[in-house]
Amino acid sequence: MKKYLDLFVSEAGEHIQAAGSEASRLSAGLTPPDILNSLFRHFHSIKGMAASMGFTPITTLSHAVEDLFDHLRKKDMEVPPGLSDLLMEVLDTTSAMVSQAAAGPDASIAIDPSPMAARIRALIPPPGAVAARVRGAGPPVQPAPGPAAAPPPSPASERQFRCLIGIDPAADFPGPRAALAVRRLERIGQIVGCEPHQDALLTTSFGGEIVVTLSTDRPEAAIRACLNDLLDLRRLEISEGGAPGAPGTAPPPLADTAAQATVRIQTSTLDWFLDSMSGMMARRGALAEALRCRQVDAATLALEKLSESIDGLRERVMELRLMPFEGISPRLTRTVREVARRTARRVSLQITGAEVSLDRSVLEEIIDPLDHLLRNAVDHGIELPTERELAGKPPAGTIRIDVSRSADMVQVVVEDDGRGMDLAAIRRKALSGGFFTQAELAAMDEPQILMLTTIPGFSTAAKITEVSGRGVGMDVVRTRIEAMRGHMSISSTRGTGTRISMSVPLTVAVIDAFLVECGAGLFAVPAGAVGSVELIDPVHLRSSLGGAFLPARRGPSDPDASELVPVVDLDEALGSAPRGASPPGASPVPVLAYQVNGTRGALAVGKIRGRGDLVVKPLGPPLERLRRYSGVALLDDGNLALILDLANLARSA
Amino acid sequence: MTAPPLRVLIVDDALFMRSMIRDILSNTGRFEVVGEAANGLEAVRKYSELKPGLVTMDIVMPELDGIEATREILRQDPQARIVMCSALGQEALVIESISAGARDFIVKPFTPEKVIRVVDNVTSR
Repeated sequence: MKKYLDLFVSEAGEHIQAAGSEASRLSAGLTPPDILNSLFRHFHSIKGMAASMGFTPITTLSHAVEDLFDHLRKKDMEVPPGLSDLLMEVLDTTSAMVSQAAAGPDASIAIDPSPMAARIRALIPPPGAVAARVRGAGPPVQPAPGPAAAPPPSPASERQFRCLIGIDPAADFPGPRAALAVRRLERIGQIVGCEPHQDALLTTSFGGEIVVTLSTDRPEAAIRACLNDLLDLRRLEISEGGAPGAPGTAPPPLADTAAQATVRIQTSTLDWFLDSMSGMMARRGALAEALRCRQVDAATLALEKLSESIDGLRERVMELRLMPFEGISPRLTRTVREVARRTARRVSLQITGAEVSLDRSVLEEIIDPLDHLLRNAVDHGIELPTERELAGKPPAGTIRIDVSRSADMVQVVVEDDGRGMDLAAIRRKALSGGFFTQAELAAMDEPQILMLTTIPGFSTAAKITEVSGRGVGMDVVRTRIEAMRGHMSISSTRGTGTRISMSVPLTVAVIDAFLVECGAGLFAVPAGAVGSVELIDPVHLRSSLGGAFLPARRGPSDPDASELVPVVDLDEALGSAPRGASPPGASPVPVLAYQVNGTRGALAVGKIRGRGDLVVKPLGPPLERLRRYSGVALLDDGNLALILDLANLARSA
Repeated sequence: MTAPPLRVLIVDDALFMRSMIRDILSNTGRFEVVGEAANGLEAVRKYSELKPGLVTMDIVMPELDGIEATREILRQDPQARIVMCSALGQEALVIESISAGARDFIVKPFTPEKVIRVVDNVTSR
């Protein structure tokens, strides 16, 4: 036992230490899901080991924390304030208990962790508050006939047996034991009925008895042989001619294959990482050696090679983070079905481009906005079936989600064929709510008017949703999308439908950007949107807006190649001192021509310092409300550069 | 005449648990622990390398959890005999494992008798 004790003390110590460093990251506000998962695992491991050693106080406390993190990682609840400090206390106590236990086989743990465990448990929402989330739901082992479908007819040679299986209720897991029995029966026949439902096997009300109706061509003895050595079996009664499975008693789905927070990585990829890592270590060695000998050329070469390795590594890691959009399709379908049922709409959701891959963090971030848009589309966009028929539309509405990828952005379009938004109503609301004056509204084009629904407080202030067919929480949607350095735009036709288009970056961590200087400082311009960089004569730049135009670069097939785009001076756009009149013969000014959300623009800057990959950090509250900037980039020299949000810059200019 | 010992792969992220199960199985003289893995990825790799007659599989592990590893192993070898090692409160995960094809399960904390009983039951079928 001494050997186990030593192992326990050292491994528990490692978990406590690792959990401690992760717990400190909880205080940073937003907690990445991998930390919640990891903390869950640490406490889970401590609990398991302590239970095996018979250290009940340690088990009690770590079990409570494990349960808490299970809820947190499943997003049943938010990270409660002060959790980080509480965890530190827990870890200190656990550590103290482990030390007491380590004193020897006869030592006892003098600490009573129950009050602390109770404090932790008090944070967990009561079971009623959490929608029943049974992890065991998903593809059935046997296709389960729906309520309307009769069980498939049995071939003539098959007979039905009613099997009553009794499990010792005092067994460790009577429910899973019963599930194991069902699973064994599935191997020799088809389950046509199961009472209680298999999902009831997880509830405490499961009394240990299950009646399975099996259709099989095997004799009764085969069924008996299949079950009689099942552990914890207390009762087994098999009779022929059991009632055919009544509708609805078919086994419900068993396992959920989606929603796993794990990544499947090919071993060859891991080997590649290892190779790449050893290559980098060798190059680092070469660099150190060159620096030691003060050989600048050799050092430069080694540094170049090291950068090459890092780039390669980064690319592979980014690839691994990609996940197809279809991972979230089931959830979106469920939302539409739910809202449609609740609001008596008939809606079909069609998703195209679900195979397009996005960074998993982008995918996670986009779920809520999409969910919101879908709720709005069903609730406020799609009309009631009778209404639709009167309007000459099919009674069932259609919502389309189209996902496509261009360069380093992913475009997600949500389009419905509902009643569309009411421009006049939005204008009226903007006026009566005192958001804009008549003159300002008159100067706005249709997309701008539609975007007014995303102003905080605009849509929630009145019953605008009912007339506009959109609105609730549109400001939240926009903020979330823009926080990801994405953009959204709305188009809508009264009576025909609404189309909301969002573009989000493929990945959030790194962007390819131009680093530009102007009077106001250093800024980064996302290169994905920039079509060309030109030098123009400063005499064409005047302080008044639209002083210069660049010919829009379009495809050769585009007949409208003569379109001109206005050049905006960055300093002026940012509200700092406008460029003074330039003397004739002054050096040409660099201009970045860009396109975002279908809008073209050009930005005159003081100087282009370079182009490269920048590590991006979100601005965080309250700075994230500055719509002109989408984030901040850390530069190699330790300085910071704000990343310009071109769409909003153009809008405000 | 005695049968050759059954070759076993033990999967658990805790060295503590692995050595406990290893001792329980080895002490019977009827099992030979041929490998250990500390996560699901390693388990999948070691399984195809060692082709053991039995796998004990922890559920909650880093890299790849035990349920995914079970699926992957069974994809490669539908005859694989996998016994899940679960902890209290993991009924749902155990049911998921069973539907993934695990043959049986052990609940932690376990006694040597319980482990042997389950393992014998699985290997005798």
